[in-house]
Amino acid sequence: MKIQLSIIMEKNYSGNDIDLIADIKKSQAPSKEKYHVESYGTPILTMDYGDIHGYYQILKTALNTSREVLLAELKDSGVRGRGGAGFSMAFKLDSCRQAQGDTKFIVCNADEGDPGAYSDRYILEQRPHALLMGMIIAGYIAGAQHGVVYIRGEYPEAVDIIQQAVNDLETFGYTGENIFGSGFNYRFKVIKAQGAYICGEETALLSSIEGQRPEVRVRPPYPTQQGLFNKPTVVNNVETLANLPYIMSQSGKKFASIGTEKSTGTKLVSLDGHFNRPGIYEVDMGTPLSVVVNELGKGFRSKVKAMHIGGPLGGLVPIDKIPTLSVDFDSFAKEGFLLGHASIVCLTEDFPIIEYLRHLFKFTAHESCGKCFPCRLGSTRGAEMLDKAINEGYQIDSELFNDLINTMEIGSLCALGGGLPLPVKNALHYFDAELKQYFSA
Amino acid sequence: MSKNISELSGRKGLERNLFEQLGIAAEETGTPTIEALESLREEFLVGKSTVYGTASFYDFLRPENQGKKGLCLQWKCMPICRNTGQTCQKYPRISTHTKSEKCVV
Repeated sequence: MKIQLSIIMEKNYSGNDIDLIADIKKSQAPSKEKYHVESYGTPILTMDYGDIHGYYQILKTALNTSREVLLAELKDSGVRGRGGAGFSMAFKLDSCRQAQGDTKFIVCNADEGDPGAYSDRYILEQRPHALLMGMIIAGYIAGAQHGVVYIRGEYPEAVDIIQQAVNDLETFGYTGENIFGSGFNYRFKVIKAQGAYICGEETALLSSIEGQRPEVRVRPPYPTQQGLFNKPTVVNNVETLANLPYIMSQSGKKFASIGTEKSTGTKLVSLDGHFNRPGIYEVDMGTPLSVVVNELGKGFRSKVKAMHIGGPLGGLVPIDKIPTLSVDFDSFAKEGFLLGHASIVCLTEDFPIIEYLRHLFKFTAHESCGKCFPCRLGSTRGAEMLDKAINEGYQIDSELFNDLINTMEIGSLCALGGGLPLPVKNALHYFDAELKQYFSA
Repeated sequence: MSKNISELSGRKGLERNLFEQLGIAAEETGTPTIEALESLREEFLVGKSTVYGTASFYDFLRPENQGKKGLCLQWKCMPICRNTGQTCQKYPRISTHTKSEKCVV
């Protein structure tokens, strides 16, 4: 493997620019911060697609191919959802395709709220047409004529860029009625989110678009059967959808040849400011984590004891585990972690794990939709226990605490309450020496 | 989630959807006015609890966050004080989002 792309500097916001949003959007204020973008292996998502008209020939070819053939191609590719769950995309599209109904939707979940994750933002701002074409192709396969891009409100620039890209497509006739004379109609709707982490959960996201409180829905029925406005709907992450143009142009088998047997293709990894070279790195699935940390991120700026990978609900990976992990779903699962969105947030040596755990519980308590009690109550009780342990010398009953996190894990309706116990368990396991003073035996 | 509200909301379709209208109603002041919520309730044929409950759920629409702006700082993953430009003393490391917090320094 070799590094294929040169470093591209991208604009980032600074906290001091917070009152200058309008100016930043008009590019009147100079951007002060930069991050790196680089591919290590096969550039799929970081590849420059060049001229838009040439690029959309992929769509033209796809729309002149039968849905069954495209679906078979997708199955061959083995592409799995990049949002965290790693669910088969072909299965979702096939399920929606087979669902009864004249109106169907493709919803792109661009509500990227995991702290430390900004790979979706990169695609939205730098590769918008990879995403939009992916959505049209997904719509064609599933028989959906509407695409909704639900973008995080904290990404004002991404909202504008995607809307402009949609306008361009309408101007060129690449979306709308009878695209490329295929008889297929497809229209986009861009929606700006309003700041709720839970909207990254697919059913909460659907409720949000409908104007309801974004509470998680009980499944079944799954969104592919009853989703947006009770119609069959496929919800996929930005990165997942952006892979489709490559798969359709290069073949599913070629995509499957990249990565590992069960985790095919590439993955965008986002490194935080504790790395010497923070940025977005596209790596083939199966790339050793040590390569990401040492060769791409160029190591840490300061002493780091753990990395929280895959968002707040991902695994808490101690530094000594780096050599045993590779960037793919199975390697992480085997070691008791979660690849998730593959964002990496570092915990420095001087940052107490107990405070980190309290933060995770508080985060979950703040962001819980309140629908199910294991999450709603469990996160608050957990935060209270840790608060008391930190401030009042209280010793947490280990059995009670384990009961609490097991209840959350088993009983929560979605991955917010159900996912929190993973990093907590990781912390209890790997940082026992640091934490034992806060727990009774 | 109510399937009935899903149906009602769906009758208006995507182009003029309730969620987006709530956001538009909040553009001026940062939070929708009671009058705007009443008007949306009537237009979409949903109950008060739906529009009020929705508007109060989101960080950006909630009345107490009126006037605050949220921007993503991401790779830094730590809030920076608006006044000093330094890492916030109250929330020194990981932030849930990058909501502007009231300065306590």
